[in-house]
Amino acid sequence: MKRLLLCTLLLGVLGSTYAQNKATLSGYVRNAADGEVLLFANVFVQELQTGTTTNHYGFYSLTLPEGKYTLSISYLGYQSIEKRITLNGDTELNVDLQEGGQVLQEVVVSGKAEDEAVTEVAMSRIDLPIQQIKKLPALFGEPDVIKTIQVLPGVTSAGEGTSAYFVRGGSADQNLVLIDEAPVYDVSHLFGLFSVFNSDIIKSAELYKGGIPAKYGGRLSSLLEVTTKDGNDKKIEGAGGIGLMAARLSLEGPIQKEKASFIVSGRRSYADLIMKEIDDLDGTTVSFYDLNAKVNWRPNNKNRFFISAYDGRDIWKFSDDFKMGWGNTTATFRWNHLFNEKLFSNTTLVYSDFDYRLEDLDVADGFVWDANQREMSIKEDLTYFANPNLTLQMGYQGIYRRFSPGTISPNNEGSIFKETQLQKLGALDHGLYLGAEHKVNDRLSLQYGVRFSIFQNIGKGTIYEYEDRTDNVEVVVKDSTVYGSFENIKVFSNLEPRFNARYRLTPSSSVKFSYQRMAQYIHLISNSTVPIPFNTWAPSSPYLDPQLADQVALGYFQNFKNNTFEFSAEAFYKQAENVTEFADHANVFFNKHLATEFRQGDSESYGLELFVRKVKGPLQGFASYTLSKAVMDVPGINGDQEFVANHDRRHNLNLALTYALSDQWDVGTNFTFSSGRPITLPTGKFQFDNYQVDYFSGRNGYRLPDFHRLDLSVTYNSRKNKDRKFKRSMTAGIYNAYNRQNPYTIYTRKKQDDDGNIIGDGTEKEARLVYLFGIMPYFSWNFSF
Amino acid sequence: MKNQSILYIGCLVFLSLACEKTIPLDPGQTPELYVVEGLITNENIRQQIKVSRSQGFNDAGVSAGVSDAQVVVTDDQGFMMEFTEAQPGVYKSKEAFAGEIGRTYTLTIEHNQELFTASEMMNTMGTIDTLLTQIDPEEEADPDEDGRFFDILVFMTEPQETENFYLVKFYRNGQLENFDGEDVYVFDDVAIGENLSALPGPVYYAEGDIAGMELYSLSRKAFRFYSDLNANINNDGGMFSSQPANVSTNLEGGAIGYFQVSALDKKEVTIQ
Repeated sequence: MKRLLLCTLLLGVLGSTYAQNKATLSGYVRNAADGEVLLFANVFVQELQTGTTTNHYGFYSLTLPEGKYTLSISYLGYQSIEKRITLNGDTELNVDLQEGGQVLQEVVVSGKAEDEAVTEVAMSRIDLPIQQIKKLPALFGEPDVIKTIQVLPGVTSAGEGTSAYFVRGGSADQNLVLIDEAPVYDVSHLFGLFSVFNSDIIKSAELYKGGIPAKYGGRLSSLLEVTTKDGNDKKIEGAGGIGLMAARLSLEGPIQKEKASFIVSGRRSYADLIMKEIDDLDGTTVSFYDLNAKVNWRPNNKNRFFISAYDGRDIWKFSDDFKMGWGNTTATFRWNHLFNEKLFSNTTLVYSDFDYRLEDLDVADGFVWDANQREMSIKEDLTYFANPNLTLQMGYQGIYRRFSPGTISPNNEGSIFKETQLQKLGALDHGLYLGAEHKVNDRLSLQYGVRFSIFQNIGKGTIYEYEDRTDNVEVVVKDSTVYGSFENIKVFSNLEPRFNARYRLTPSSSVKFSYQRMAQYIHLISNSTVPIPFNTWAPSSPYLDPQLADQVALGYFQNFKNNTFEFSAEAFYKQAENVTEFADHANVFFNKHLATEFRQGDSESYGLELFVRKVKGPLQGFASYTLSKAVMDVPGINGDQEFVANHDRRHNLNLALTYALSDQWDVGTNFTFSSGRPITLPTGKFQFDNYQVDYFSGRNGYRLPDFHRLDLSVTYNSRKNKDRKFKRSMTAGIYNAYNRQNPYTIYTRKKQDDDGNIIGDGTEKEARLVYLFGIMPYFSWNFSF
Repeated sequence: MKNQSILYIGCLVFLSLACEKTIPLDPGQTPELYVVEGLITNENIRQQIKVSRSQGFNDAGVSAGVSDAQVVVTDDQGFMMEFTEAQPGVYKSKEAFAGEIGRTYTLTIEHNQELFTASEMMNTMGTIDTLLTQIDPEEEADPDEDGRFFDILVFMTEPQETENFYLVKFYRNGQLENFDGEDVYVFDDVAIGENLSALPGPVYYAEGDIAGMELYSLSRKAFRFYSDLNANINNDGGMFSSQPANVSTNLEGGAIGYFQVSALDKKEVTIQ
């Protein structure tokens, strides 16, 4: 497989070298109004019936025989333009596209070529329609990309009001989330009620469920790549709004016209301002904020720089005696450089930090508990546009990671606590990749590559040797080894081949196939169904093997009615080994011997995903249905028997539609249905002292009742917007329109009345079904200038 | 000790948005297992071992004791003591005896050709230095129960050179107080300093009440058992806490429950 791949690659390169009298046409495609580069815009050479799309940085490059050509450059939601060019020698051509060209141009569904779903080689990739997400109903009226991801085919969630998602049977920690190439480790605000992504700053968001290019690695199941806006480089613009939970404001504009721009965007919840004034709450407040900033500088067409930063936090205070908070900070420096028309370079420096803090302000048991993890990485990606039929990509990514799983310190003299620290863990992570996009002929296109990943678990640190490593009850340490700073504790490596193929059946239909192997070297230390912000991560180590997954997928893609409807059917099969689980009742917090709690095993999932999307006209949106199964087999869990995964759902049906009634009015609706979540319920009980203890016969043996919900929304754009610089819109909606009591979880307790008084002699137990949100109206007001 | 409560605060806040209702649960056939609740302390008393059976989830009433079992406790230095049935399922040592720190005790139970054993060492221990009382002003302003707004303040010494685990029981006028079997007070000494001072207890008292506290030393295994127990009876269905699961045990032979061997320290104070 590997050798074949290299041969194909080499042939492609050689083929291009022998071609004669060729010249390269290259440049950026941008939005004429604000200078934002357009990702995946179509550049088509009519005479040759061939073309390309701009890359993730808005750049394209085409090497063609010298001559005269008619180019058509198109992008959905923008006016296509045709350009006649004479190509004799390498030529730079930047194209600015005007928005519009369709009725209701603001309903841009997605940034891409019209028939991209059929023509692109990639499958299992969905770009999220940011503009449409803003018009769809949302919990508390706060548009959220994560909540939209949770309703995509092949994706499940643990329930409403959570920000964890599970892709094709994978666990919550198997998703890589990037904001401007910087990883975000916890995407939740308010324990998942909202995600950290402020929709005002997002330019595009793409989810890869499979067929992940060799350029990316590090997680088994998915990649979510969120790109923020560059900032308008022509004029100052602003936008903002206020909803039930948070207020937003962003400002963008040129620093140097058409050369440099900035954007800053902030979001803040304001419930704390009200809570402060309520005496009964005794100072209990809850708040969160997000701050994004980005500066772009384009000194010339050969060089482009940006610096992007994000900071967000949750701050909770409980009546002046307990505080907790968590947040992410990321920073990205990126330099795009054109060595020549054919060689594009992207150099990135990334910093990411996630931390949390718990603080007890009581005198006697006062403490501060801190934990964090930091990483710094350098990435170099090279793209070589060999010829119109072959693009090569290669690069390296190196990451230095430091995990600080916890420090407890007393915060006053009288505290019972003493300074205690869990040892820090370190790792160096390397990825080398080589990949190609290869147009074999008009019908067949391939994308293939391989990623070589190396992971060094490094010191300093102490590794304990246990009498029985899986005995988490009676921990007996036999021996220990001390490793010095940056000394290798254990080194892992994996070859991760990736392969995608597209075969075009007709101009509007294609079949696709993909295979990928992914390796994951860091593991989330969480044993709950939904991870919480107080979970830390751990590197692969002598007692924690890297997770590996192989996935194959086969898909059929067809567009109907002049690309108005996109239809796809994808079947996948995924098998993973060394998936990280934890022993029953594992102590995942502040455990010096966490290694004894690890349980690794296999997972298997398969399914069928049907997806239809309408991307043009007043009515837009998608419908999806997923039939899937996910099981796990982990020695040491469930009596070594296979069990259904927490995120297994047999059926999943989703509908998200927006309808533009007029220039003023938009309506939107969501409907979601899914099989109930598997849950572990007791089969019996026993008495110990005056405790009534549940007895379980197996894990995930029951299911919650089915989940379904309908949401509605309406958006009104002020009639006067046309003539005004200051434009206003209002959105109102209803979450859970028919007030379905959707099951959230079931717990058990001693039988008691509504006031908490025990009924009877305290020996009887009862099961309680918890459901979260009933019917909830919301309202938000937005503006832009 | 803190871990659970921190999790709790998070979950409670989240679930305050929620509504809930009681639903019927039909768990089908329930396996009937032997349950052992044994305790040997360093007090010179007739020690007690209870043997009962597990019940169906929907069963009411105290589970029937297992009668006519042969119950024997031995230690690693040749000591042997037989237990006799005092009430159905409740076995008391024939004579009073005090366990000793550092010795390992083995329990053997024979019943209907079934054999259950458990071994446990009596771990070292801290001491309760004193109990003081004080008024909790917030509780005084709005007491849950009339007149009950006194805290007890615990002063304790925790030996730093040994690895210790503790179980605490609180009493009010001789009555065990753990919020109707909802709270388990169990902690390890990982992040705890030598002197614990003025640590308020969880129970409120009225003037004239006698407040009692018992401190039990636990083995690591027993600490795990009580931590598991706490997680088991307070689980939220696994959304934010660990997956619901069985409580660990030190019994071999298929029984559940625990044979606990603890050093015990106790103090009382009259509220005034």
